[in-house]
Amino acid sequence: MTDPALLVELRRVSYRFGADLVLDEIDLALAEGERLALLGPNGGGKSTLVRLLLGLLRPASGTVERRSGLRLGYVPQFPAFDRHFPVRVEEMILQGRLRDRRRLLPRAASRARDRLLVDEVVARLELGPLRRAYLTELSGGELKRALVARALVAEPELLVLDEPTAALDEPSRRAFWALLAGLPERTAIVLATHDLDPETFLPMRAALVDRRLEPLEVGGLHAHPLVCGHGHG
Amino acid sequence: MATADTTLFASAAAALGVTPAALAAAMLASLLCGFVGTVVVLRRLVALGGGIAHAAFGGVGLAMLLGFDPRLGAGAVAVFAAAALSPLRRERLAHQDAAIGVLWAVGMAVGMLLLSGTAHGDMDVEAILFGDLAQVRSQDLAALAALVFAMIGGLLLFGRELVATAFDDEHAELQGLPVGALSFVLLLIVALSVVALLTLVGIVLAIALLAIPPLVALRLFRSLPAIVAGGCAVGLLLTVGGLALAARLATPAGPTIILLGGLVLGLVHLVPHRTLHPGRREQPSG
Repeated sequence: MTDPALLVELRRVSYRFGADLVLDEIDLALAEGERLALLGPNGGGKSTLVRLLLGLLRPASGTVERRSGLRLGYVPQFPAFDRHFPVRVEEMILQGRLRDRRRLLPRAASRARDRLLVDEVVARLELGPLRRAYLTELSGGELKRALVARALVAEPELLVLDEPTAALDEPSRRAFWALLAGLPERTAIVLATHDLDPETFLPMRAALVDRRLEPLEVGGLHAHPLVCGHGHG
Repeated sequence: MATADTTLFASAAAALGVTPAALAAAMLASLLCGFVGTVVVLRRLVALGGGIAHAAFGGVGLAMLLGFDPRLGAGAVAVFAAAALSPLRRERLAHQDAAIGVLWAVGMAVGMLLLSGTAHGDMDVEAILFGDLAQVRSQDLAALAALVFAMIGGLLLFGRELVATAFDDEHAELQGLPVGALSFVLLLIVALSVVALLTLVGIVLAIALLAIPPLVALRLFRSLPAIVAGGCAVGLLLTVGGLALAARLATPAGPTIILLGGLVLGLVHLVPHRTLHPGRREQPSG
């Protein structure tokens, strides 16, 4: 990558779904601590761009580079897993620590730290009464909060949220924005949403995704420079 | 002491009307039902496992043609099919079910074609398709035991990573796990389990024996360890019970085991969910 402060850099990235060109020559760079809102209509390519950023999709052309060992947290719009899988909420959240638990026999201290992190995030997201519940027992909003918890216990350098407030009621939305506002400044956030909520939005830069990526000035949001990537929100 | 145990085991087998080797094979198979079967059901690999099993029949035909042990041919083709299908599954192809169906049919067609032009010797094609416990020899048991314990050892050693991959492979990939390799290992274990079960229930019924016990256990238990343990217990009940029934009724063992499994699965589904799990408050998906 051209700049060591960058976490992710996309250069002239295009993506096709069959014959349809979903994203066309996207340039985007994200540095530590940046906060970027990706706005745009349904079908404009926000989720595809998010998945390219994460490395879950390969571009048809162009390059995507991520900093080696980048710690990622991701809250998908639609989870890829089967809710009938016999996993309790706290077990799913603990999977956010997998990167740090890859030793065959993790040390007791490391396990204790993982537990502590899970306890802290569970308390902040008010998931305490649900931690022993199975995923089939959760409402859509509760599952979303559990997914946010899993992303946060990973202590991500880049937190990617795809329509994170879609299933949340108003109090949960406000709590969610307050939670994001309280994250460490060094945590970069990419938020994809079609539902702009300026009153509760964090100070963020914004870009419009509708096959192409354009800097956007809207409400209290400022246009993202897209490729310079050094400004903080 | 060991002799006393051996005698006790032989007496138990005699009481059930089966050979000690068949009883031991059934017990080993029940471990696969719990450990591997749970993976098969939770990862939704039943169709894929069935495809691999039937593709393995092509390997049986090829091995017979070339003069090898048919189980080696089945094993080689099963491993090859797992390697070929693992990336297809990761790409979440829209027509994956059609690909599995084609593999299923082509494997059977190749096997039948090759066997039709080959002298079978003492090999019974029906035994390959539906199993024949009379063919289990004590020297086969050591190989079966080694295979079963190696697979279970692998599942236990990398349990956390394999469960994470089976549950949500996207998230596991973001956490830096080698998801491609882990998915292949899971499919490889399924493929080898199918081959291991050939003697017991044959190619046609192997995947059903892997799937039915964990499906019963899923109905009865909620935590993953309980489902695995329950799958082993139900597997033991079905294999040993099926063997005893087959001996008593003079019916083929493989189909008897599977029909008993179907009956037990049907019975546990007659009990309402709320009766089994009264604390549950299920939400609609989405």
